[in-house]
Amino acid sequence: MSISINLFNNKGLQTEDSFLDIPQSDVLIPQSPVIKGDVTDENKKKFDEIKKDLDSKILADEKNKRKNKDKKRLNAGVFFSFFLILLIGAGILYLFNYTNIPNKVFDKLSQWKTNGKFNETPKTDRDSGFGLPENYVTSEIVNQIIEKSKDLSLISGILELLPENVQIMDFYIKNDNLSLICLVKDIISGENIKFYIYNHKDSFKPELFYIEKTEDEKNYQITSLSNILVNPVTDHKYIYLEDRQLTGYLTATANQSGVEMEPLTISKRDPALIRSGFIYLTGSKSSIVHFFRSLSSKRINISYDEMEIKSPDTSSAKTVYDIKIGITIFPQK
Amino acid sequence: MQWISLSDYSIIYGICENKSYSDTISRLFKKNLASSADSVSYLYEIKKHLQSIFSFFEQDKPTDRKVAFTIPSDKAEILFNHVETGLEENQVNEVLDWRVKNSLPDSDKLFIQHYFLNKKEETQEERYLTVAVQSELRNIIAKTALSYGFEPVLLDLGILSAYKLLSKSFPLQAYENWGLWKIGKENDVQNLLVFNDGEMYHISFISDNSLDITVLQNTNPQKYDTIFLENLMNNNFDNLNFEKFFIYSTSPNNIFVQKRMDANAQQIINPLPVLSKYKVRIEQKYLTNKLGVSQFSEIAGLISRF
Repeated sequence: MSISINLFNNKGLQTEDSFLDIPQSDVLIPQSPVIKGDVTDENKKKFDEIKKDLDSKILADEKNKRKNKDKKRLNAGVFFSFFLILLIGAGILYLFNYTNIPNKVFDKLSQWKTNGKFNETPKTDRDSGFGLPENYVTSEIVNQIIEKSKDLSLISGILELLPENVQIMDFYIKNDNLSLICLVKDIISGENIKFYIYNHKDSFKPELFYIEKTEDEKNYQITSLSNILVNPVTDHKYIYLEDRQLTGYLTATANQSGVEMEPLTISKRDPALIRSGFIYLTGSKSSIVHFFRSLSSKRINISYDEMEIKSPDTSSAKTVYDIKIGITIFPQK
Repeated sequence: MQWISLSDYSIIYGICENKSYSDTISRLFKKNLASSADSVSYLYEIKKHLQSIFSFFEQDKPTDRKVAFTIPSDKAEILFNHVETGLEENQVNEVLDWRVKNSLPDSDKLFIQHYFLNKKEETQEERYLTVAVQSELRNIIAKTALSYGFEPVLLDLGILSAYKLLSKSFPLQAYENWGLWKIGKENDVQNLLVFNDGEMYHISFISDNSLDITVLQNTNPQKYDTIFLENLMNNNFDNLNFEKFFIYSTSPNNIFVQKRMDANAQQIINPLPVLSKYKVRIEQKYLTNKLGVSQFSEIAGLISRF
């Protein structure tokens, strides 16, 4: 097998007709006769003048580019704030229109929300990402990366206790709050989860937990609301991955775990900024657990801020789940 | 002829001093980069260094203005894909493009090429190598060369250039399987090219000091799983079952790299025979050990293409 590549050739499939396809130069730096030929005082003077002129042009060009970039960043900031407000609005609307949740549970959820329980969550370093300069990675952010990876491990623990055919109506994690509403066939699963949450006192602060029979008496409904607690971080190491590598890592991990992953979506292109993104996945419960466990064992430049797991169709007996993970991607330190 | 080989932490460049190769004496030089990995600062630094290298070439009164490059393997995607036989060229192109564009973010910022490798009669499949590189990096290299009046003629990937060097030095086709590992620093990308059962595979991953492995790309995860990669990092080469295995690094002064290179000294690539065939000289300070010499593998592969 012989491989001889030339990335200066035309793009696409390489055939016998492939040809050099070099991008054309913007600025041609003059070939000075001084360099090629004999050095004379006159030629040298001429060369120095040209070089001086060129240097000042390049400098002015760089300054302009920087100005434009700053302007773009400002615009991006305004747009991002607007987008964030829209997102929060959509989130609230979504909660109030969530028809799949039985009224009883929905009342409890909104009651919990109205009581300000979500807001009462102690403000932690983990929420501070968006308030920071856009291209600055602090140790608080590193803490956030590490803490959110631990969350994945805790969630895997809960998922593992649920039976394979569980009907997940709402499994949602955001701002250190975890809500789980699901239907199971037997009461044991519910008791196991209760035991898990109440016995991980360093990790969960339970706000509400109950198991009750559904109206048709066919299932048990588990309803759980908890805060995820923050623990001190001792290890501050993490790996920085470029977007391309990040996608490679997530795809390779998804393939290894047996979950299907759609291409990663990223809000902005500039890798020097703190950006948001989404991972969409589909997989069985055990493959999701494997995926989360794999992700939680790595410290890379993303934090898993928001997570939603759902049964795709509540009426079917399918055992695959849809997952949406909202992530923040951090630039290099 | 001029050659420039970019790696994560340095640039090796060389100039051929006479037109005819029969009486050529070429010299290679090395520049260290201040930063790496972060693509933004990397591109900026590359541009700055290329400018000073082209100025240097000018001062050396080049006999021709052709220049060939290699770029670091981890700045590109190396993918191996199958396509069923019988498709038209444009259909093959479409299918392969679609696969890349549906698996990578910002695919419109990538420059993508596909190379036919072989046909498998038993499965009615054709095998292709797809290479995707940041258009911006390709543009910066070409435009900087052009702006200094040089003619960019070839752009290769580091590990594929090292593979070229090997194919000039060893009868690779005679081996049932072989592997080529570009050893990177801890927390940097490790690149591995593997040939087995008549097919080539590419694996890239990151390992830290505790040998925790983060896979970035693996074109054959069933055969080359985490246990395989752990054996590799733990220097258990006997468990890898390769007829031939080759290693080199462009970071020879790093302790993490040195540990692995020292433990497998007999596998280190020696580019000197090829360089001496092309009458290329390296500064004496790099010739003190095999490890230091191996960093010239990529540029030696590039030189051997002319």
